[in-house]
Amino acid sequence: MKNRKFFAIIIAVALTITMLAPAALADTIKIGGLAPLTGPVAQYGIAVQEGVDLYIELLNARGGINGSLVEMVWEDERGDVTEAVNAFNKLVEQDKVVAIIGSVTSGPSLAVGDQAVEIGIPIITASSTAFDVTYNKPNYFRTCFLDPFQASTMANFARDEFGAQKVAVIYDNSNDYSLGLAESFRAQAEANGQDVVAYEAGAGGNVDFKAQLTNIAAQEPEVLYVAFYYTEAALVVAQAAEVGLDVKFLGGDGISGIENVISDVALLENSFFYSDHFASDATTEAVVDFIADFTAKYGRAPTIVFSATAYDAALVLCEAIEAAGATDFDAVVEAMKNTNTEGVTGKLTFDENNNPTKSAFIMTFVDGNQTFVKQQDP
Amino acid sequence: MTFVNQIINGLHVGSIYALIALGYTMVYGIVKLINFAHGDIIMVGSYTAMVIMTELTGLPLWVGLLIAMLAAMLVCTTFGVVIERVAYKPLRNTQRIAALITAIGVSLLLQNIAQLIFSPNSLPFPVAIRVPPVAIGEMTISFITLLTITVSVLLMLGLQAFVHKTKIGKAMRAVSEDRDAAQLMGINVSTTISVTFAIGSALAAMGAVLYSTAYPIIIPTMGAMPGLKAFIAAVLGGIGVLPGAMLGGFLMGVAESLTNGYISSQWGDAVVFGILIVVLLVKPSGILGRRTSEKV
Repeated sequence: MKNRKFFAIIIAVALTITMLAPAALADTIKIGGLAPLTGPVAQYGIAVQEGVDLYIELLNARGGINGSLVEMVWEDERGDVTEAVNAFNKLVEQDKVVAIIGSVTSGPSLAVGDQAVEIGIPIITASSTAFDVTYNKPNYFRTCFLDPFQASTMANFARDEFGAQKVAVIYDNSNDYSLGLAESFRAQAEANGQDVVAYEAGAGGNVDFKAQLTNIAAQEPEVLYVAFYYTEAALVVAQAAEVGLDVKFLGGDGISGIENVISDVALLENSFFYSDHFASDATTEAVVDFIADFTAKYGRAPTIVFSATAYDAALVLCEAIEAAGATDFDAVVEAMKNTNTEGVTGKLTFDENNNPTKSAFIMTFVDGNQTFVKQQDP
Repeated sequence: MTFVNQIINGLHVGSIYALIALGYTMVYGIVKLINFAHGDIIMVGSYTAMVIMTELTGLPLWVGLLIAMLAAMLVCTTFGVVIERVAYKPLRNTQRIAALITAIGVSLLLQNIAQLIFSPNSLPFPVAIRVPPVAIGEMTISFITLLTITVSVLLMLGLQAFVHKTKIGKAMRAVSEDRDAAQLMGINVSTTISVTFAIGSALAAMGAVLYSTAYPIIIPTMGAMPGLKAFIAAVLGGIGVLPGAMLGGFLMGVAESLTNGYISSQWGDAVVFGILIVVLLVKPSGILGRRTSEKV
């Protein structure tokens, strides 16, 4: 009986001490990593893991966050929503991580979203582009930009680079990705005072866009925003030449890969410009350093852009923990909201839905290879 | 001027539909079979031409294109004849539905073989022609468009002459009118049917090369849509009637182009299929089709 009371007191004291422990940082800070490390989308998960691990390794080598080392605890969710929820629970309950980086594809990221909001844990994804992942979720952030954002960036690029006053858009009205790009491009172009002289729909999966291109050519625009994936875009470029449409082509990240399906790569040469999340041949100091560090650690350059956005996700999170000087959820989330930093994928702040407002990398083609043109800052 | 350009765009794709429609209509005219594998013969032709043109890099473009066309015609003709012998001939005297289903099976078989050999991904079709657009007055017309329309019209005229002026053409017409009677008159029906498949497939091969030159991305399922539209063109013009297939093809192409250009691309296919429904309601035998009453 006495013994039991004694233990009860000890436990109570211990609990009180834990609760009263100052918000200062522990010796090691545990951050959870949620990613598909095996399974059909493993290549994205591994790319994210590599980017995060690189940042953490460099950070610890510099002395960590205010002297506390950071430890990554990775859980494999295999691209599956159920596995993702289980892995999330394990990270939170067993590993007691202070924040989570993940998940990678949009399905699992959405699956853990509600629970993350309930707990309030800071969570940041490097690669999920579905709008709802961060919408109405005050503690869920991301470092990859969304489709509408890259389209408006291209409207600015058309203005800054070509002084384009007359712009045209061709899009697929049966595809959300394409519709989103087209509408945002048009909105930004109009906001810039540019004239949207043609806004033509072409159904995806079609091969014949000459009718639309003939209409567009009649309006004589200076640039044409091609809100398609690369297959249709390749057909658009080839047929534009046929109907005598002489413009600069612009597009989103879905254009990457067009150089493999177009019949004549010369048509792309300095004439097709598209936005991407990252360019490994960019010449900014941050990118050059990142590529060098990555190659030193893994023996090869990163192949998937999400390694870079993952590096930035880790950077945003660790800088926020440092700024908060604590690991309690609310303080870190608050610090993340106030992020204003420069990562390897450019300048980065968050908007009201925790989506990044950041630089886009503008690419074109030289000798049939993707080539970095410039970094378009927001 | 845009309007004239849209008409020309329509004639371009329409002439390709017409070439393919000829194959449908000839086969239907003779064996009363809708050969659904015909669309996939286009795919076979495109891949053949692609392989040949990728191999023959040293030659001038037009020589490469010519050789690719001949090779595609050869391969497609072989495919057409072999398919008829292996898949359709044994079913010639059974119910028509049996052959129709076999045709769908052959279509799937061809698509899957192509996927195995070439992967299901899109591949670029090599540049075949590098000639600047031709200026006619204020208009510019791409050389590919001119070439396609010219070649198609010449082939159609040639086919018309072949069917009406040669002995085998006469045999084809005879078999088409009454197979049993033709056989009794000493016409070799099997040979005639083989020749029909051969010619239809060769025209499809030409259509394939012209199609891929205009839309230079090829995938194993590429034959389905042009095949379907060409079939509709054949029905529209009057299936079994050669000039009907040509007329149907051109009408389809122009209707599609004008809808895409002036209404919405979402409606392009709907209008085309809508025209088919209207024609079937008003004149089920097609525009140039003759009303035939079953002889008892």
